[in-house]
Amino acid sequence: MDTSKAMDTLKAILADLGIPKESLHNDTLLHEDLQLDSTEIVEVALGLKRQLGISVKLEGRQDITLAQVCNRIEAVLLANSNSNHVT
Amino acid sequence: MERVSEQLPSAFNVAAYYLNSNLERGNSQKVAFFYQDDTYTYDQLSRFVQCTARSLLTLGLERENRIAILLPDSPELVFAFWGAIWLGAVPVPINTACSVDEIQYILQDSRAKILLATQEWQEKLTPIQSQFLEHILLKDGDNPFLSRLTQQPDEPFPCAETSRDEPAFWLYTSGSTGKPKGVIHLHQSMVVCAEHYAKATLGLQPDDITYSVAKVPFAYGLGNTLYMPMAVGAATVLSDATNAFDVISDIQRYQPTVFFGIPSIYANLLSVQDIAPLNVSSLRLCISAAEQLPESIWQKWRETYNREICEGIGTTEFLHIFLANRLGECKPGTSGRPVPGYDVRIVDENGILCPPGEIGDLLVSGESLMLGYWNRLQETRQTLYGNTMRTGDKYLCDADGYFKFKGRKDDLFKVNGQWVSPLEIEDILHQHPQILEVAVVPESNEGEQLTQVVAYVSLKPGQDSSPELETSICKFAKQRLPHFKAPKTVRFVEQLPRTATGKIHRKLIGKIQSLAVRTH
Repeated sequence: MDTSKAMDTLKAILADLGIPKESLHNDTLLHEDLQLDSTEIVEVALGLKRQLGISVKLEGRQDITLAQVCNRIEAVLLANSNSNHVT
Repeated sequence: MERVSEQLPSAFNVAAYYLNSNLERGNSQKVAFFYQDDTYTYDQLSRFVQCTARSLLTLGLERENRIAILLPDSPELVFAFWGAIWLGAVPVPINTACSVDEIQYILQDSRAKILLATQEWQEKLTPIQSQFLEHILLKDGDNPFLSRLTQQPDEPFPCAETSRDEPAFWLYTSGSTGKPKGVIHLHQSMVVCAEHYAKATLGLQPDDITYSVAKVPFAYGLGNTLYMPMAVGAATVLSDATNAFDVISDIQRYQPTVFFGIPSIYANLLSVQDIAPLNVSSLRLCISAAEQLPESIWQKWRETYNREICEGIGTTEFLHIFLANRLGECKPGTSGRPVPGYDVRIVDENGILCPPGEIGDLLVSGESLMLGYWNRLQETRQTLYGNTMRTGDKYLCDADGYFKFKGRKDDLFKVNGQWVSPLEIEDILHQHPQILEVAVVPESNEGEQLTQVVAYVSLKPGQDSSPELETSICKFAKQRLPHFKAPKTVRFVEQLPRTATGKIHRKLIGKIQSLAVRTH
C-alpha cells in the first residue's frame, strides 16, 4: 500500500467521525488540531483494523500528525508482509 | 460505629498526619509514587512537601489563602497540594480538560493568590482576568517549580496547627447553570473516606500499587491517587495517560494491583483488545465509578479477563464513594450497597422511605460531606440539610439491598465520567442556521449501553430533515464543543413537548419520539 492510499483510508475514517475533510492535512495533529478524545482515538484504531486488517496503537502522550499515523500504518504492513514471507 | 472524625484530635493537619504517620511506620524508603522513569519515596515526598510549604510562604501565601493548581498528574501537583495544606493554605486543583473560560472563572471565583501551571496554559490564559492573582509559578520554563523547591533549605518546616474541621482544599464541580461550583472540604474529610472506603471496603494494603484513570482534580481521582494509598502506606502511579493505549502500556510497565477506571475506559480497553491486549496479571481489584457501568461491559470484562468490576458511586460533595459493590459480591448493573459510615436511603416526594423496588430520591448522610459550595448559599441550602445531601439522583433499592441508578431529578447527566449540562449544548445548536428548537437528552437504552448525547431538533419553516442535515448538525457541534459533549445522534421532530409553563419537557422527549419523529 502506498502512502496516499493509507492517507485516504485515514481521512475517510476521520470524516466518518464527523471531522470536516477540509481540516485534514498531512501535518494535522490528532489532539492539538482535531481535538480527538479518547473514544475517538479508539474508533480510528478500530477503523484501521477493519479496513486494513492491521493493529496500530495510537498512544496519546505524544501528539502525532496524520502523516506520522500513515508511517506507522506502512511500518505495520511491511512487518506483516515480511513475517508472511518467513517460512 | 464511632465517628472517624471524633477519633482525630481537634488540632489536626491532614498533610502532616499522613506524611508523619508513614515516616513513623517505617515507610521512609518505601515508594510513595511512580512518575515516568522516576520513583519518589515517602521520605522524599515529606521533604518536598515541607520545601513547598516554605517556598509558598515566601511568596506571601498565608493560611486560608487559595492556590490554584492547573497541572496534569505529576510530582509538582502532589507537592503543591500537600505543601499548601501543610501551610494551612487551601489548594484548588483544576481539571486540565476545562475550557479557558471555565478556568478564568475558577481563578476569579476562588480568588486564588497563586497559580501553578505550565507555560502552555499560561499562554492560553493570558491575559488572566482575576485581580486576586499575585504569582504564576510554572512547572516548566526557565525557573521551574521543582528548581524553586530544591533551592529551599532541606530542613523541617513546622506545619500549621489547623483544626480537623477547617477547610483544607476545594474541588470544582459542574453546576446546572454551567458555572463550576467550588466544593469546600475539611482536613478530616480525606481521613473519613480513606477509613470507610479504602480500608474497610476495598481492604487496600501497604503492598498495593494503585492506578487511576480519573485525574487528581476529580474527587474520585484525588482519593485513588493521593490520600488513599498514603492512608495505608501503599504506592501509586502518577500517569499522564490520555487514552486506552496509554493505559495498557502503563499497566504493563508499572504492574498496579488496584485499577480505578471509569465505564468509558473499560469499554475502550475491551474494544482494542485485539489491537493491544491488556495484561491484567497484576490486578487484584478493578473499580469503576463516575457514571453508571452498563451490565454488558461488566459481563464482557469478566469473560475476557476473569475479573469482576467493583462498581461504586460517590459525589464530589461526599469526596468519594458511598455505595459500592464488593469483590465476590458484585451485582452488575447496580451501584452496590452502602459503604460503612454512610446512611443511604431512598425517599418519596414526601420524604417517606420507599419500599424495596420503588424509585425515589437518593439521600445520603456521612461525615465526609462538604462544608458547602463557595459563595453559593442558595445551592448549598438546597443540597444539604444537617449531615444529609439530596444527591439529585433517582434510585431504587432491590430486595437484596443493592442500589440501582434510575436517572436524575435535574437535567444534568454524565458522559465519559464528566457532568454535562444540556443547556450548554443547546446554546451552541441554537446557532445552527436551520434549527428552530432543540433539546438535548442522554440516552443509554435503559442502562444497557454507555450514555449517548442525543439532540431532538425541530427545523425552521421550509427546512427538511435529511441524513446530510443530521451529519451537518453533528459536525457543527463538534467544531464548537469538547467532542464528548457533541451529539452523536440527531432526531428530527415536528415540535418539542412543553410543560404547562412553556418550558421544554425533557422527561417526555424520549417517550414521544415514536409519535413525532419525521421520517427521512
